Amino acid sequence: MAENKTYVEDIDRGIYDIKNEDTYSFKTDQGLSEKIIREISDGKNEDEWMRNFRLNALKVYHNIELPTWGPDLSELDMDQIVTYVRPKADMKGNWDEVPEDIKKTFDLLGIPEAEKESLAGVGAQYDSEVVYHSIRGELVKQGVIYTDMETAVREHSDIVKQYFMKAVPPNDHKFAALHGAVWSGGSFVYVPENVHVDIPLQSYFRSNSPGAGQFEHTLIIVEKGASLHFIEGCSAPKYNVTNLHAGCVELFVKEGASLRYSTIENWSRNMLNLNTKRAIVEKDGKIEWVSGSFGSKISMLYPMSILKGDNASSEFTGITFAGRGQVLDTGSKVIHLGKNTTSTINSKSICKDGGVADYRGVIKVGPNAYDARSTVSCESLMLDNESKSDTIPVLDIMNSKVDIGHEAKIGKISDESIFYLMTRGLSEEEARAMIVRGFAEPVAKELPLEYAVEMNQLIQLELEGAIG
Amino acid sequence: METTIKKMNPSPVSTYRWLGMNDYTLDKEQFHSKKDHTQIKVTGEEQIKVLSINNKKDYLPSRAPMGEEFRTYVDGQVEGLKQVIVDQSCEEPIIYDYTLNNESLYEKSEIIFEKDVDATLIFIYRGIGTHMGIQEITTHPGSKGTVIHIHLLENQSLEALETIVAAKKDSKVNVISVLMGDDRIIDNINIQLEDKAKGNIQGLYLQGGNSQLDMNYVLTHVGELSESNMDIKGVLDDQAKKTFRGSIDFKKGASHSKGREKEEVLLLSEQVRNKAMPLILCAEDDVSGEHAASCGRIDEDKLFYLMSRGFSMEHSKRMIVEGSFHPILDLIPSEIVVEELIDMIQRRMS
Repeated sequence: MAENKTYVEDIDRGIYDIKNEDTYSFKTDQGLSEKIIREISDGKNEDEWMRNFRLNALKVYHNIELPTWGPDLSELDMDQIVTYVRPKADMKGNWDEVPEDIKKTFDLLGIPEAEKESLAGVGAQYDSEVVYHSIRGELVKQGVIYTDMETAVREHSDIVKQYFMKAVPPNDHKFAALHGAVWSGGSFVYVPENVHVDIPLQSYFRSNSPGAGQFEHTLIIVEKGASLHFIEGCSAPKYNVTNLHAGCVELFVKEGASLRYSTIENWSRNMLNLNTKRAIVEKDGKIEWVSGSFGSKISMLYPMSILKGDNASSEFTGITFAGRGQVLDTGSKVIHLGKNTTSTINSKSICKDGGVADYRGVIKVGPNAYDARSTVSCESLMLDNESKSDTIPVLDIMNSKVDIGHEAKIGKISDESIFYLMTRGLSEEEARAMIVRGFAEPVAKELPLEYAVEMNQLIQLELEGAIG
Repeated sequence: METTIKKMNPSPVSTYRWLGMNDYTLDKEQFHSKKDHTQIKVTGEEQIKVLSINNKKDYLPSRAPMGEEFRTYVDGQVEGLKQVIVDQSCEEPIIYDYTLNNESLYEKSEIIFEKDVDATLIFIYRGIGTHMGIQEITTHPGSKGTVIHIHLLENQSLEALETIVAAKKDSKVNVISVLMGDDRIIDNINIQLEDKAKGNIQGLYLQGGNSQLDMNYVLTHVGELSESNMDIKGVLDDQAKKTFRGSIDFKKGASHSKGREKEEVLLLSEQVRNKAMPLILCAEDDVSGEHAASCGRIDEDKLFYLMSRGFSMEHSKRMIVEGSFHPILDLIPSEIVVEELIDMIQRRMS
């Protein structure tokens, strides 16, 4: 049975590939040495403890090997990557003061619109520093701290010291060590006890300089009984030199607190996205991850939830879409330590035009995590036979009082579904697009409206390359 | 001399190193010494052709799914190759029943199911000792071959068996693995399916004490319209440790193929360690693949129901375990063997 498939040229990614002229004001040498680390630290006027932290992390970095599993990272040459780029614009609190060319790109990405919609603070990272930041007065009144990481290190060092890289220690893996040494930019959120932040906090960042790595650090602490929804989105223009992104997100969810962390990552097609995200959840706490991975050349991204306290829970909803030349290796990890802890993972992946979309994850249940429950469900949709999709989950269970299940399915769009929709008057392309949108729906509905719209737009853009 | 055999039973795709699940390292210190003759009872062999071949070089399978170090080690221990040729259908199963007496047994064998035949071979390993083997199976077009491995080696024993299957066009192969042995078992089954071939891996394991079980089962779809099914049922008790790696691998070109994989584990003790890595690898869109892995303790409602009917706790548990094994036991076409297994399950559970 022969199937007719038509392919069109790779799509124009429109606004997502717009780039500004490279006008950085300061760049470090191309290699990675103690001197560079000191320069970075001095440039930020950091305290002794942070400088020492960076130098220790650098030592760890030199002593750890690259991962022996997962996508091929052989093209990575750290000596060629400028690790730190400082944009011309300094910290701004007012949109009007942001430089014009930077603003233009952000405008295209819809940032001010989000502001107009009276959503909360917008922290937009440009290259490695936060250039634009605002937060609503009422949040400040509630005692919520929302600022960039550099300011947090200076002004809230007591809190930062207590949590910084405690969930993801530098010796975790090579890129965590690298991050510890050269981190720059990112967001810091502190929500005091019993404070509920009703509106989602957003941060939109992107990296822009050829050969520049992006190492932003996000640190969120939600105290006892408090709640927060934080949204992070990324988009970066296309360049020829390999770009490395090794960000780090650390989330601390205290007793009875809840945190929803949503992100749509849409890196340019030459980016190596090796991001580490981890949450530590205390008693009765709850973490929800909503994660969309598009773009990038290679992604290795496996947000981890450590359910430390009794009754802690985690939910992960993710979608990954890999097109031509992309290897997106994503998934989620959960470690059950407390009693009666619950985790749910729902992962969807789509691949086309030779793209590779893998699910990789782990559920680990400790010896004292009695009555732990976990459900993992992975679905993969393959749009052609040039593409690849592997499902690589691990279950590691250390006690018997558990209820653990893992399920995965893989397949293509069935001819029957297409036929059915076509009998209802849709064209074949519309039918396929509708099925793919339906496949992604469980993720889209977890996102705030404008992000769901952006995600659907991305899927539409990606699909137009596949069907026609 | 190296004291270990490394990188045994590797997963087709590796993952996070900190889990220590990508392969197995075997300690050679506890190996038993070799003897000239192993006690073996053979039933039904007159139905087929058996050859002993001494020119071993030509008969090493091209794939080494148990790892190169294991291949080299076993190859160095075995003189010749035993070739079993099934050239006609057999109504009765052919049974090879080995009893090890504090000894090491190393074997290399080749089993060929000729065109259009239908037969079952059962290999039983009992006693105390070390058994390491490489078994290559070919099912030719139109044939249906069933190979059953029953591992009953007792305390202080070691079992490491590599089973490599080439299922040719239109053939059907079933490999059934019953792992009741103690101490350490490393089991590798690797089936490659050509056009329209069907392959099943069915297994049951009951592990207690301090036993370690390391399984690596792979079903690779190379041809179109091939079908695979993996169904594993297990029970872990005491301080048993188990690692299960199960993969369904759809290669490009395996269009219209179907693959299913399932592992269910009952955990009877709080000290067990249960690791599972159920993979689907897919490079072809027009396939349907599914896998599921689950584990948990005995369903308390079931237990309560049986106990309310007057059965003791122990008896009720035994009934539930036996019940979960029955779908696999029913596949073994020898009443004597099945009875012995049920006896053994009952003994183990009390």
